[in-house]
Amino acid sequence: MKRFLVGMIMLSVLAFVATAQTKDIKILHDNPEFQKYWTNAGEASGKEVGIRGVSTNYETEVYQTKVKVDLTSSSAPAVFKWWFGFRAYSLLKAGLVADLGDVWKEVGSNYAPGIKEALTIDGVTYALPFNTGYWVWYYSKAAYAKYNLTLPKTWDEWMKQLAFLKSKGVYGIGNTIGDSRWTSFIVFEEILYRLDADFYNRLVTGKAHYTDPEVVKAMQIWKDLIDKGYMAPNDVNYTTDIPRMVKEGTIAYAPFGDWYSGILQGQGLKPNKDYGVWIPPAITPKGKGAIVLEISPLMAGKNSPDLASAKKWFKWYASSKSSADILWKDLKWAPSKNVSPETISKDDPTVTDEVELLKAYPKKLIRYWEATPEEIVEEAVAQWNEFRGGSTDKYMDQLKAIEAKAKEIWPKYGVNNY
Amino acid sequence: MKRVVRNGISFQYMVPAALLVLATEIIPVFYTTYLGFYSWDLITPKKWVAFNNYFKVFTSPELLNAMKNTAFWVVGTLILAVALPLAMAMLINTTRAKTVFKTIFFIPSTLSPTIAAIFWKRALSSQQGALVPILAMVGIVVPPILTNPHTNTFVMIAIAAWQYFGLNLILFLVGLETIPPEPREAAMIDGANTFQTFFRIILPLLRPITLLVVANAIINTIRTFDIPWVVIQGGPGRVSETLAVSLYRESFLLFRVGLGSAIAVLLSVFTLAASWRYLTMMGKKAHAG
Repeated sequence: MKRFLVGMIMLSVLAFVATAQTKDIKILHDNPEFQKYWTNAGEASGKEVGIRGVSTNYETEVYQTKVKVDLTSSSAPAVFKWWFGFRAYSLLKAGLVADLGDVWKEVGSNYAPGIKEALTIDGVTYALPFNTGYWVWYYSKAAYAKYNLTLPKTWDEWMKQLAFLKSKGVYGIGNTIGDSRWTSFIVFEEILYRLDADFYNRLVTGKAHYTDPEVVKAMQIWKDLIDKGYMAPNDVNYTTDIPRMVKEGTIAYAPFGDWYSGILQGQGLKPNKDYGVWIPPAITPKGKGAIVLEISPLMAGKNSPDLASAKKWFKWYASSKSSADILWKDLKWAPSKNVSPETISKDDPTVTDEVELLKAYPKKLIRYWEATPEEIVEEAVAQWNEFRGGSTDKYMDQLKAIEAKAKEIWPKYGVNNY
Repeated sequence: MKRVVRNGISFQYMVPAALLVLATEIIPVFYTTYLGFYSWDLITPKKWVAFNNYFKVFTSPELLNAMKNTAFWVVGTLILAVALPLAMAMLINTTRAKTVFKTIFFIPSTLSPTIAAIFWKRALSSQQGALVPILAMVGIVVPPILTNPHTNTFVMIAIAAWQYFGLNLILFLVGLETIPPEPREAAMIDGANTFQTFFRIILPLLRPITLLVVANAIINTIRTFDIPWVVIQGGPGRVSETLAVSLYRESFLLFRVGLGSAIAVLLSVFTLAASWRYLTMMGKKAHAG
């Protein structure tokens, strides 16, 4: 009895010491649908390296304010999810984000070439990737089977297919604005870089104008798609309605980042059974071989009292097999090399198909949302929302409004001869 | 005041409430007004811009549009959620089914504006909305009216009116029940018709209730945020924004906190001006009558 009691006391002390040695760090994100992942990852890192991530999610609009206010104080989050490119620029410029270059030195080999450079501004590598996503188009297997369709090889072939689908009562393109203002830039971006990928890069870096002929042409093509009735109704929701309609075969195509595969599966669709992945052809030769890339970064608050622990957590996040496994299992994301191709292929064959497709698209373009200053993006999204809402005849006025905002904003970012 | 000062215990009871009001209302009002004189994005130092933000509210096309939409909301609500309940109250006041009508119309008033917006957003959805199968029976295809910039403001005003109709109906019924029958009977004896009786006898006697309902309607609709935000975030684009939605967008989405603060201050001034004017006007009429 005495030995039993001594043993119990020793076990309790050990448990207490173990718990006391686990450090909690604050993690913030704006995706409630990913909370399960964050909880699992937080617990796993606590067990493996003694740094437990305690995560809180906020709705996106509230989240940005919350993070910005916290970053300026000693309540700065140790780890937080943000957006890269120009969206991170204001935080970097204000000196609120930690340099993770030292972390990259140790764990960089876990990632594909180019990722570190994409997350570096003015010599500061400010993030590790939460997700690296290419913008592809998902297509409905039900629609394809019902109408005996094949994947179009040219833009003209695709336009004919959309006209055929319209005649059968099928919406060609699942892009709407009902629940999500931000989605209004997607089709414009997809059209513009397929017209001229280099022009797209010049536009988003302030070297071309919103009233240039290439942009006007993109708007005319987009207007044509809307006026011909190829777009899904504006009030459908992209997280629930579009997946359901893709499964039913009432929407044929949906353009999103490849993170959308997780949303489709979350709505009960099976990859390669209910939906497949495809990349539309270029409109002109100047658009060939280009694809849009989006990186969702995880960053560390410079003012966080737990910065050292955050960097330890990042090292675990980047290099641990369990970290990669949890991210794949819960979100179907594999930003690092630590998930085997066999696992990916077995769980989501559309990812394997996508990797194969991407071999023909070596030119990587940054997604519009992050590629250009956020003030210009917000104006553009507002104008394109109105365009999508029915004011398609006013596209020149809308472009002039975006151009006026661009003229106002570019000098703030050092582009003085816009 | 002397009595209060003499009675120290009363004063002590008032102090906590006064401190709460000071901390949560008075100080924020002054701080918000102060922020309106600066350009600030939350993460860089504030920059003094004097009255620029306040001027911008009256010169920016988006904010002028928001003011126009807010005016539509006020007028629309006065018609649909004040005039119509009054008309309905007159119709059902002497019926036996008054209680049934009161219950049916009051149910939406128990919902929060957010729930009402979510409910109607789904019901009016062009795909799986509740109206889709009903209207399909008569061959009508439901268009996406909530994302159409030409219709969505009016539809949202109707949603708000649906919500407030019942409460205002009950208030008017209560008011009608307090009117003695003698003035009406005297008017009928003197040969007054229904309209004359209503405008010359009933409406003036309903003034206290009318005052309450109209002031409430004006104050609540000038500050309208929930329904336009939940339904379409003031869109498409910024087409259906009200001033309260603009305040939110400028402050928390575009991080122009100074401009958002200026909108907040002016919104408060408009609300005070609209309700003050109405209250003093009705007060004068009551004394003159």
